[in-house]
Amino acid sequence: MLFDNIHGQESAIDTLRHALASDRLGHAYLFTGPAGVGKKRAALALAQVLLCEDKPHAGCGVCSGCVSVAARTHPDLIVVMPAAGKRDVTIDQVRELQRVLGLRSVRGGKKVVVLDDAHLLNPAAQSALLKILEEPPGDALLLLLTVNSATLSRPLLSRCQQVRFAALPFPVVEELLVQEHGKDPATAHALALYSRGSIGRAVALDPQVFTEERQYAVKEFQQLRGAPFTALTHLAEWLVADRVKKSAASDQPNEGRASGERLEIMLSWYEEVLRYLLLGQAGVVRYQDCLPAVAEAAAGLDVPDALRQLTLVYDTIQALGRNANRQLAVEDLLIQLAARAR
Amino acid sequence: MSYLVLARKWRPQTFDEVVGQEHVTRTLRNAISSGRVAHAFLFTGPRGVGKTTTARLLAKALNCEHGPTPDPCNTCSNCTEITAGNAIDVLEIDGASHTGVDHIRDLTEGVQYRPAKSRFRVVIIDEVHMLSNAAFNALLKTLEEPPLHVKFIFATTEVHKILQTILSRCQRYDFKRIPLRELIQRLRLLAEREGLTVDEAGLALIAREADGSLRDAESLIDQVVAWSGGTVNEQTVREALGVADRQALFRVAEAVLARDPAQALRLAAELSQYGYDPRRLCRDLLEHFRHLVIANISEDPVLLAELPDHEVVAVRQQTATRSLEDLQRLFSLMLRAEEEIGKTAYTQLVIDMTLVKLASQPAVVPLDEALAQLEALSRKLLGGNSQEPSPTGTRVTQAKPAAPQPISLTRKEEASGSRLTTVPPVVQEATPALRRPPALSDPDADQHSAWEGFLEAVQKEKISLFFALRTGQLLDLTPTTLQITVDKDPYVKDLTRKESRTILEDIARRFFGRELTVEVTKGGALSSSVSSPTPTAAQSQERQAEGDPLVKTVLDVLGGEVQTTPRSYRSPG
Repeated sequence: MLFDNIHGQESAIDTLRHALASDRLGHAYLFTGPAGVGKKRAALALAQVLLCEDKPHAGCGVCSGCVSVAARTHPDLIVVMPAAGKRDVTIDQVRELQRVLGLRSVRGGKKVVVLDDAHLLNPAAQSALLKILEEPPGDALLLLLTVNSATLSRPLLSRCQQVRFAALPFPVVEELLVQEHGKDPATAHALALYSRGSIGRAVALDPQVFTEERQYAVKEFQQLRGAPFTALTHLAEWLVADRVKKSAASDQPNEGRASGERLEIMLSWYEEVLRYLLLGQAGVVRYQDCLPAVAEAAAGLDVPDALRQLTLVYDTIQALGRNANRQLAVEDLLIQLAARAR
Repeated sequence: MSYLVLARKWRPQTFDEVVGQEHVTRTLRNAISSGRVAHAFLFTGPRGVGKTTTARLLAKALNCEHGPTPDPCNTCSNCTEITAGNAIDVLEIDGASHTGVDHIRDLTEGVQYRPAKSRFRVVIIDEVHMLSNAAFNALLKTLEEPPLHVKFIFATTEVHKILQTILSRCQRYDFKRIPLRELIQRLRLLAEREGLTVDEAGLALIAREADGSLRDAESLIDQVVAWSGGTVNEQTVREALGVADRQALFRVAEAVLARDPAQALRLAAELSQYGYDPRRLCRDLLEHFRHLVIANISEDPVLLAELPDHEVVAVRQQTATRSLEDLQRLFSLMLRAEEEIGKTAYTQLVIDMTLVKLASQPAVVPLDEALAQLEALSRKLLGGNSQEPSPTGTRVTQAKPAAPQPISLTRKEEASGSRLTTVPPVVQEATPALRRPPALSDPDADQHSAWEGFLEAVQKEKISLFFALRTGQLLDLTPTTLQITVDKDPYVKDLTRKESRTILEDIARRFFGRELTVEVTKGGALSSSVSSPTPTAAQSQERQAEGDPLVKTVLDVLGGEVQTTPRSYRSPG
């Protein structure tokens, strides 16, 4: 797992490469960017390079150092994440980290700390990390990964060099899906469009289920105008149904997943309607195959209307992220949409 | 030893090197040279301006073998040990991870012993705001009267979390954000020492990004150098930091101001393709709208001093296209978006939605103007011949409306009286019309509206009777009796009960202003003649409706005639 395996993040990877090549690697980095675009891969690749035993700064990928980093069993690689069942990283974990960093490294080289989901550090933990981040004890490299640097305190940000990971362009996601995940081009295309630039998301989608769900959803959305209440409840149930399965399946809290994929389909649908209104057919990307339906949905709407609809869906998704009652929130959304549509 | 980041490598080692904090360093130097050094200091200020650095410098100045001196030698063993961070007598404690009271107990016990080799035991507690309350309290006694050989230095970014009792025992020094010019100067010096190729614009951009913090600036330089491999110019800084090109920013704003949502959307997509961070873009746009608002308010060039000249020109051009209210609205919408984008995973979507929203905002009409227009409208409706008021301010007018129809004398007096007040006249006229018992001019219509008024009065006082009465009709109203007919049996029973009669008569007396007997009869046989308002009543109501100025205007504008009037209709005149 080396730098070459990370695609579409040239800017970020070049930064790290340059720093390595010119021997200017700092001691604290903050990798920011959407979920599933390669932050963790890059962090582990960097750890491999630093902990490689074969020749320094190579990251051969075959020596025991590289292998154990890939397996995350290297004694000098410390991965910090919320304890099982907890939502945040606590101050005790940071204290433990401090203690471990005070010890000599097991294999005599650097120590690499990967702090995944740094936005989950609670405020006390962030404060406790400050001194370590400024002048880490021993020879350590701290890598903080986060999807949202806005939740981290200014003093903490000021101590890190930031490396930005951008959302991947559609073609890159598409290519990756074909090459690395063995999807056929058509499926890859469809999934890539929904990935919002995250390969992690695209891989998480089951193509067959996704296609079926999308077709069903589009049909339902078309009938939304003035639909009777029973139909709305039914649709609402369907929209929130995938939630339970999802949270049981993934043990890591992840904000991308919190909203549920079906609502996501709805969001992109209304996004496309707005784009169709503003930009015409060329603006529609994700629903190219059902242009007439988009056109029909857009008919009779003006821009503020379409924007309001989109905002409604977006607000609902955000509200669900804050533990709103799922069924009620979605029903309310549908009722408003159905009423607005005439 | 591996690479040290710039912020650590070039940490100031003398008071003179500390940037932008003369008010602190000078005070400290003077205190040291005059031998009036306090025993407890509190350093506060934003991140990365030199608090920890100054704390260490102070320790050095106090413990230097040639001291205490404002200019520590940096060569003696005490100085070098402090620089390396392993001096025995200088205790640097991380307050954020040693928050408990036990840590402080150990500390206060430890400081009783004399220093091992230097003059003072210096205790530096960094991030002191994270100490627990108990820990703070455990410090109080020692902090007030420490042994002569002990100096305490606290450093924190959040002074408001520190107890008053601690604050009062310390000398407090507030560190300031470092001014832009000094920041640039320092960065230039740094680049020189490091042998980096830099240009002025690049440094200026970094300094602006750093927002007054030297460590931020140094981290940024590290970042840019790692990205570009040694050159720092505007281009590399922009690309390394994902800062939107100013040109692009102006174009987005242009599209918004031109109310072209499609163009705004296209530009947003373009920008994201170049890898500009959406959160960043949002912040920059917010800043831009702030500039627009400022430029709209004032011509004063000082207010926009942070912008280069050609941008000031462009900002002034853009701001001229809109009113201040408009721009403020756009700014506050943008502000909301900036808050939102910090919390969401859909950054690009928020940008898109915001831009479309901003670009499809209609012009804001100032409240004054809207009120004036409303008033003009209402005057036109009532008076027809009154002239247009000037757009703002003048709400008090003497224009007497020509009465479109006969209205009672009392009304007229009251109405003309109200013309002089600032409240639009309609409001004042409407209120009395609801309550007043009708004037005795048209018996049928009067009876009907009297009935309605009576019902209303009952509704206010006794809602249960109102529901019963509502099903009934007025049969007759004579000077002494009020005859009512009700269709449904249970209601009749309700109403004919003695208590209800008393209540009704009581209400009637107060409403009509005279003694009345209320007679409730069951409808049934009579229903054919009284189930609906008598034809004459209906006609009179229609007549009345045609006299209504509002209805009249509608008829004038749209044509047509009055066919029926709903029961709920009540004529204003």
